[in-house]
Amino acid sequence: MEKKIPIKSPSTASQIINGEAVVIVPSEQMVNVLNPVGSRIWDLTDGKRSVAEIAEILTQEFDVSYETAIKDAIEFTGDLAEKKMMDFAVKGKKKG
Amino acid sequence: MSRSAKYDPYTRIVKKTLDRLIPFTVHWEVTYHCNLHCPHCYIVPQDSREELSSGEITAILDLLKERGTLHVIFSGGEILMRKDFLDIARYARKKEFALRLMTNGTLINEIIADEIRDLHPLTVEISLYGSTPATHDRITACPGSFERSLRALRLLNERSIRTIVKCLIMKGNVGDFQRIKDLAQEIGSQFLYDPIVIPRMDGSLEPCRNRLDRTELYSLFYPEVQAVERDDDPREDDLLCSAGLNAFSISPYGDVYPCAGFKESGGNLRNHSLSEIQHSPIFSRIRSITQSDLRECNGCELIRYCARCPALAWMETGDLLGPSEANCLLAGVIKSIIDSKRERLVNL
Repeated sequence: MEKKIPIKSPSTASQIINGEAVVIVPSEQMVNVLNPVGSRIWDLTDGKRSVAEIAEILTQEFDVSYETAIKDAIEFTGDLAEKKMMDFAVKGKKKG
Repeated sequence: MSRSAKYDPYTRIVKKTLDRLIPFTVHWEVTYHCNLHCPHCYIVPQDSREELSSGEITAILDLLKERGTLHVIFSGGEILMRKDFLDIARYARKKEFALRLMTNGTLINEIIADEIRDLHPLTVEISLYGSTPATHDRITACPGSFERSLRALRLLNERSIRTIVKCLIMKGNVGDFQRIKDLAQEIGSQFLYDPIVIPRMDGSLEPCRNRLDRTELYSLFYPEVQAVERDDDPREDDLLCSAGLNAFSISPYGDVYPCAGFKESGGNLRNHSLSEIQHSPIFSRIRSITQSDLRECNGCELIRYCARCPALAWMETGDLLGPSEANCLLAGVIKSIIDSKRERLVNL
C-alpha cells in the first residue's frame, strides 16, 4: 500500500480554500470538505507521489512520526477510494 | 436553519469565500454567437469586438484557479459555436473546475456527447421552449431545433450525464407548460422553469413583451405553490446577493461584470488585474448595498414573497435600489395564491 500512487478520480472537481479542500464528485452529486491533513494529502496527490512519499511530507509539516503519518495517509486515501474520489496505481502501471 | 445555527462545512467555506472576495463561482459567456434566433434573448453581440482567444481563456482559467474558483458555468450565445469550446472545457477540467454547461443542444451529436461525458460536468442545461416542434421552433425561429435539442438531451441522458431542461415560460408557450414538464420527466431530465423574461442588454424592453400577465402567472403557479407561510422578512443588514462578492461574470470580450444580468463592467481582463476589477467602483458599490438601502421595498407587504433581483431592477429601470416590476408582480401572485390556499384550508 505504501508504494501505491494515489490518483484523483478524473471525475472529481476540487479547490483548496484557505487550506481546506472542497471536492465534488459529479456522478454522486456529493460535496466533501476535507480536514486539514486530508486537504494536504489531496493537494499532494499529483499522480506521481506514492502514499509513502506523501506521508514523508506530512511528517515535516504536521510534526508527527512517520508511523502516524503513513497510517493516516493509508486510511485517508483508502476512504477516498471507497468514495470514488481516488484510485491507485503502482510504479509503472495503473491499477484497473 | 436558524440564523444562529452552526454552518455545515460547505456553507462555512462558501461564507469564507463571501467574506474574502474569493471568486468561488464564475459565469463565463464564452461567445455571443448563436445559431438560434429567439426574440426574447437578452444578448446583443458586439461584432466589432474580438472575443477572447483560446490562449487568453486558458490564461484566465489559470488565474481563476489560483484565486480560488471552483465552479465555472459556461454559457453563450451558444457555447458550441466556438470551435475551440471543447478544448477550453477540457482545459478547465484539467484544472479541476466543476463545470456547468448551458447550451441549446442543437450542435450535440454522438461524438460531442461522448466528449461531454468525459468532461464529467455537474450538469448540462438545455433550453426547451415547447413540447413539440410547433411551439419550440416558432420561438427559436429555427426549424428543426426542437428535434436537435431533444436528441441532445437523450444522447446525454443515455451517457448518465445529469441534464436539466430549462424553460422560460412566456406568452408563446405557457399553454404547453405541463407537457414540457412531462416531456422532461419522460426523458429523464430535471425540469426548471422561470417566468421572468429579462430586458435586452442594450436596454431594450422589447423581450419583456413576452412576459406573462397576472392571470397567466396565477394559473401557472397555482398548482406549484404550497399553502405555507414564507420565512421571516429579510434583515436590514442582509446582503442582496453574491454578485461581486464570491461570484462574477465574464463576457466573451473579457469584460467582468458583477453578474451576467448586470452589465456594468468593473474592467476588462485584457487590461486590468482581477484585483483591480474586484475593487472597481461598480463592484464596490454593488457589494455595499444591503436590504436597508431598498427604501421602497422595505416595508412592502410582499417582501417575504419576493425574490427581488438587483440586476433585474437595474435592467428594468436603471435603479439598483428600486423595485423590479417583474419581481413585484410575481411576489403579488405568490402571496395571493398562498392566501387563497390557506383560506380554503381554514374553511375545510
